[in-house]
Amino acid sequence: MRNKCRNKNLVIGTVLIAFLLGMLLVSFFYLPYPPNKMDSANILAMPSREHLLGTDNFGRDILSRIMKGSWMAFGIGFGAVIIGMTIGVIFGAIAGYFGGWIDELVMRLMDAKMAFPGVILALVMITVFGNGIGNMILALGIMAIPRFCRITRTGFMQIKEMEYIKAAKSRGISDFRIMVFHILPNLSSSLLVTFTLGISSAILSEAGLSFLGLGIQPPHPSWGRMLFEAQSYLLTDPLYAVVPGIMITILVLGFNLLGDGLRDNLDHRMSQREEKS
Amino acid sequence: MNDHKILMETQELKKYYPVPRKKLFEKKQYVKAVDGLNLKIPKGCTYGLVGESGCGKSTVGQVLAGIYSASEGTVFYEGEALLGLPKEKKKQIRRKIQMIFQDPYSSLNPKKKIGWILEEPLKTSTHLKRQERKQKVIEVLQQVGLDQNYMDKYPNELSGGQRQRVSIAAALLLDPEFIIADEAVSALDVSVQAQILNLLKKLQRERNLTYLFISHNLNVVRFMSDYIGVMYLGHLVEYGTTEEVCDHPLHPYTKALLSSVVDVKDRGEKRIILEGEVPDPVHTPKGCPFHTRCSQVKECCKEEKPEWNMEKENHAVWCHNLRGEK
Amino acid sequence: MFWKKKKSTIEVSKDYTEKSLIVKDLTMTIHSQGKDYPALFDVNFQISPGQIVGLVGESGCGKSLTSLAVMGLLPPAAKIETGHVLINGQDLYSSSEKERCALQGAKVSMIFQDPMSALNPLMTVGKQIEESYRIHHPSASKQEAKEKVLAMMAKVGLPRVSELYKEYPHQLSGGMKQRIMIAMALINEPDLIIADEPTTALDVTIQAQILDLLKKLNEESNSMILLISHDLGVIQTVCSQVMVMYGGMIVEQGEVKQVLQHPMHPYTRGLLASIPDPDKKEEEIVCVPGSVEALEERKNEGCPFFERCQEAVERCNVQCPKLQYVLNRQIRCEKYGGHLDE
Repeated sequence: MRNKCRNKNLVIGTVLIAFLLGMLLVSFFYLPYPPNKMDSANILAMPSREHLLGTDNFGRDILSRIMKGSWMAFGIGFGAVIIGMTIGVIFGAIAGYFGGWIDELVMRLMDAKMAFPGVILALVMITVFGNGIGNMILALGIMAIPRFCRITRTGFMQIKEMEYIKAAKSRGISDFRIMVFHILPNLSSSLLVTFTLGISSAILSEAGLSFLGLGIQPPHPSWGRMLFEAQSYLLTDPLYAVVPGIMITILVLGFNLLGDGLRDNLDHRMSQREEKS
Repeated sequence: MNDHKILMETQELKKYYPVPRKKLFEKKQYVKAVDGLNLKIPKGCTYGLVGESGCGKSTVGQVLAGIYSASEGTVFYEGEALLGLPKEKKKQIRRKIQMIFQDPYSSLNPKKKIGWILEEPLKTSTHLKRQERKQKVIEVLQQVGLDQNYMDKYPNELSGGQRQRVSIAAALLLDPEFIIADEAVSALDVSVQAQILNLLKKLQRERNLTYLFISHNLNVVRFMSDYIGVMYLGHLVEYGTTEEVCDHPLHPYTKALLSSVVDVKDRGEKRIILEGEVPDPVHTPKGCPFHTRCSQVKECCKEEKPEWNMEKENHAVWCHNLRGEK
Repeated sequence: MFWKKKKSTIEVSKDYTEKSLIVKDLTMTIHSQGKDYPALFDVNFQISPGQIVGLVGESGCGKSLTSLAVMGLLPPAAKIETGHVLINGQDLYSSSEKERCALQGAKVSMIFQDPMSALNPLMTVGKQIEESYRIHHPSASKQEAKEKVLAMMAKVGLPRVSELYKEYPHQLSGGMKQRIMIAMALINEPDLIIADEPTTALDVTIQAQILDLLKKLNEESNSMILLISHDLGVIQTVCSQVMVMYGGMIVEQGEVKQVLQHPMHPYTRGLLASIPDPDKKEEEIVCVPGSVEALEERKNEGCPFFERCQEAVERCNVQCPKLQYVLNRQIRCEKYGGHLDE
């Protein structure tokens, strides 16, 4: 218990993410204004009682757009990482477990994928398949594959040499069962850490693409898009740019701290268990 | 060995592992872990396999248990060659061969409860219902001296001896005939080791099991086995009944091995201390593999492989020195 | 708490500087989860030059902790409640940091169980031995140090030393690595060598070589060796004195021949009976039931062996027996307490 409290990363990360999740939850039931409602009387207004965080260049309520934008952030983050993790774990498991030429093939594929800068790959995909949230998630998901693939492969290579896997084999358990029920649960902690870190990098890429005007298309509210739109008014209305910027920072920082904290905590528990045994 | 049916037999069994190449065009090299092994294991007996680390005794166990496939040679089970059998039939035979591993700390999956580990082979290889499976697991746990409360525990909650009992239970679940115990007691404390040895003997009597007992500890092997095979660098160098091999060892390596054993009883014999170390199994010496350390080495030992000499009906040795002495 | 009852009042005269190791009334606790657990209790022994003393027991009985205490390498959770460790008359735990370091490095050295992990894989073995020499002989020239290392390598029976000097640990076999470890331990000509399971990781034929070497070196240099092992056979082969530990206490202590051929304590007898005897194949091994209790589960009262002892009586559960002199040995058992004293 004492160790958990000492783990500051985990605590701060959890608080930050809980704050964002709370906002997400509220936005399902209540938004101050419809996020796309324009109020031409209040363009680029400063914070006031009606608009707590002011309005943008079309007179839309920034708070409402930020809240609605969290749907996009979490949706894209989780969606992309789940796609990336599923494909990455399958490839990594096969490569690590069977080894040989399969391993070679999969790893060269991953190398080829890694040779492209992620954003460029996403750009290409968006150009080819068209602009849309679905394609965006898919593109970011593909970007996340290699890191999951590598972690799973290394884990499988280590654990398949353990005696309990040999024992399972000698008991006639099929390869599939060994991979899913015997090896995979042992990787859950490192995959969890990669998962949280993956979310923050997916969201960061989304914001980056949207900032370039390539990700989420108007009028959908997205934090990155809001930053992009705000840059022309940076001097006249800095709050318009600062608010989405802070949100992105909180989210990325939150997930990174959470990931680091989880890793420390799990490592600690592992070493404690080993000491015991 | 006449009064017992042969349960398992290997003919010219070989297992080579490729060595990763260091240079691109280097000749492919192999570790000759097992290099032409002929083993006959009689039914209902314990066959002890001894030798130093790297002699290939564990590889033999793992090949016989089906974890690795042999590079060359044939394995017969009750007179049937395992290679080329239809898949279904092979699976049936595999079920009868089970293995117990050395390290009780790494042979159980740390993320799974004991109950799950024990139930799993029943799920995949039998058609028992859930309740029947549970019943069977409890039954086997009782046989190894544990109770059903252990089903809900994780491996790290158990002591070494308890874990080894769980490993034995896991091996017994599918009612095997043949159990390979690879250094099954080496990692345990002496008092716990004695408990496990007693348990293994008890199970053998109750279930008419055949054991292949692999260990580097000669004392334990002598205690457990009816027959002993001595391995050196991938070869069997001497085999026979335990009494014959241990009381009248013929191969110089067996003699050295026996005299190296540190015993509490002072036997007052002069210890034979072998010079040097086991050669690297990639570049095995030509001729007799033991000639680099042998005290009775002759010219022919360096060139030719020895032949088997049947000293007695139950005792054979693979050495040049005994050829033609009879 | 019973282990806090008495404070040791032994005053060792400062001028007692003869070569010796004396462990006096050593009682130690381990702090875990907010509580202190007794890990060692009232450990007393002494080693004189030329002696090899064996310390035997199952895992978790405190033998490694004893060796760490003598080595001065206690884990942070361990705390010495009472007692002294005197090396050549100097108290290890009341000396200043500087004195302690000098004492440890120059007079005491350790041979570890696993030579594979005790050597640095990125440094040639020769350099590793040389390093430990130069720490204590900073004035030695490079040439001098190298000659010294080569001589020591030859002394521990290593072949072709000048080539081996330049090789890395992974190029050597297990037996050779253990010889390197021994060379490293001996390079500063220590008075006391602690060998923690030095042959457990080795094959029997190599074990025989190493034990032979240890014995020979001990005779030559007249050093003191504390040999820790779980293998009674090893103890029998090389040691002259033996201490049997259980539950953090020495339960029987005496000459090897006496203790191992005519054991008296029920635990020593159990240990010896547990060794499978090839001549009695048809019989079941008479073994000690149960297994060693974890430190946290150890009870504070009575004999630590009570739960597993088949000869225990009521009193054993309440009163911890004292170490008694019985028939030229020391023994800690209710059975021999009192009436056989002196």
